[in-house]
Amino acid sequence: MRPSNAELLESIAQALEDQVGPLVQDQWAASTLRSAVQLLRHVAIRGVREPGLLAEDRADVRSVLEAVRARLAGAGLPELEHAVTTALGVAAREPADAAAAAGCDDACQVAVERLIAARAAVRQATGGVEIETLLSAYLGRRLARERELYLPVFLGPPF
Amino acid sequence: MDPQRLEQYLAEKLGEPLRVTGLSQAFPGLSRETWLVRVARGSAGAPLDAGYVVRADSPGGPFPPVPLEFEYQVYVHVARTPVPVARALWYDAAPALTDGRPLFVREMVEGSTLLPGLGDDTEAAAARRKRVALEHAEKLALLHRLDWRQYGFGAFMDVPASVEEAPRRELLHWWRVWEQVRTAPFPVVTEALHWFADHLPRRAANLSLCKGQNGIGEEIWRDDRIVALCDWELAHIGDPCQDLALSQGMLKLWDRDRLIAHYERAAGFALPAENMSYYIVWNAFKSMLALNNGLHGFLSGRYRRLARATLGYGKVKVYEQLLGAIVGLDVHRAAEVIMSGQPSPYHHRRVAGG
Repeated sequence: MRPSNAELLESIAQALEDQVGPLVQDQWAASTLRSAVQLLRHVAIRGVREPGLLAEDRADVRSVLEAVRARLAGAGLPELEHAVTTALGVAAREPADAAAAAGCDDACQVAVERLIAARAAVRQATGGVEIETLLSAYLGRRLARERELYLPVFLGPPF
Repeated sequence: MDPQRLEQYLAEKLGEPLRVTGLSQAFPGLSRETWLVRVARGSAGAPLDAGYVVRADSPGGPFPPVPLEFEYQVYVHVARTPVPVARALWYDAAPALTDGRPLFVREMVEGSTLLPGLGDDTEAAAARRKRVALEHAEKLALLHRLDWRQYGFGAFMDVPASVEEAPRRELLHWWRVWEQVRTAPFPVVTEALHWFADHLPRRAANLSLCKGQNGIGEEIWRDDRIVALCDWELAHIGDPCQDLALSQGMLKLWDRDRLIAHYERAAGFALPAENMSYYIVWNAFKSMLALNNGLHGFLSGRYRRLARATLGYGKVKVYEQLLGAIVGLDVHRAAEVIMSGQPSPYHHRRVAGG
């Protein structure tokens, strides 16, 4: 349907910025307006891109965590193995809605974070940096995917 | 803030009748509220004009996860030293005036946190920038060479065992805090924290009382002189390089190398370039931590001020991108990445009074 949600939100933000902003003299109100415009622009992008990004990321992190699980097998880090297995279990279920997709994303990120936090133990147990290299590469891809959600929208005056 | 309730509160605390003649909130007050109050004290026949500053936690709590009482204690202790600061009068843990939010009151120092015209493209403005930058460097040096043990700061601040231990102690402290306050898993930041551990400075330049926030917008200026250093919530004992690295553009006001040399002469110790670069990156992490902590009030519904979302979520994601970019770099290159991409939250801050 046209105009799309993104087009409507962007046009609202632009109108507020161009037509309302110059007339607002009170600095507190002007600040709120700047924040509102920034958030509207973010929501306009996020509404369109988030479902695809989450799906793409879920496939990516599943593949990475599978590879990590294989390398952790028998390495003597049962808690980390369990965390990875749990996250993979969550990621294997097709999320029913946006909230479930976000929950799945969180579960996977918790596992990735635990693995990175335990860097020294993982290195010692696996005898190398293969796992952290896999994770680091994944995080780089994730950041690149997410970048358009936050940049340049949040580079402007935030308040 | 209701002027009548404030009037009653101040009269009770000061023990004499008074009338509030002026009340304004310093903008933007995102972390904590700062109320500038003018009162006429004493009898109606011969009132005495006085100014006070009421600093209170916002309904959403502060950005830095540091209790307001800590900052009050810093003010009290700094007032005993040669470092210029407003005199703190009292701390109130849960006053009805702010619906139970803690506050403290200090005397108002006349001046401004802003220096209008400082960025003008004129010879006079350029000369002024140099003057202001040197003044700031001298005041920081005064603070950093202070014998903080003599003035009792060690009684309520965490004290590193040595200059060698200070950088690691700072890292581990804020790493723990981050794990307590972050609003979501941030594996990129955990990776960055390992980078910090791998690139720790060998030793602090000195064990100094550091201010935390400093620079334009943080101090009270009068006639291009700092008459009071303000905003002490992130004060700590540590590497003074951190203060120079977080000086809100002060090092850009004049020739950076000559400015640092001026500071070093005044302080009596050198600032290693590696430490400066490290703390430029480190300050990005600490800023991100504080901003993300400020998102809790928004997420819980206690404080839905929109800037809490733009800063605590949006800006935090920008910082996450920046910290993700430093992994694999040396400290100097990482500092360049941070400086090239770090947006200043103080773009057009309007803060008046003390």
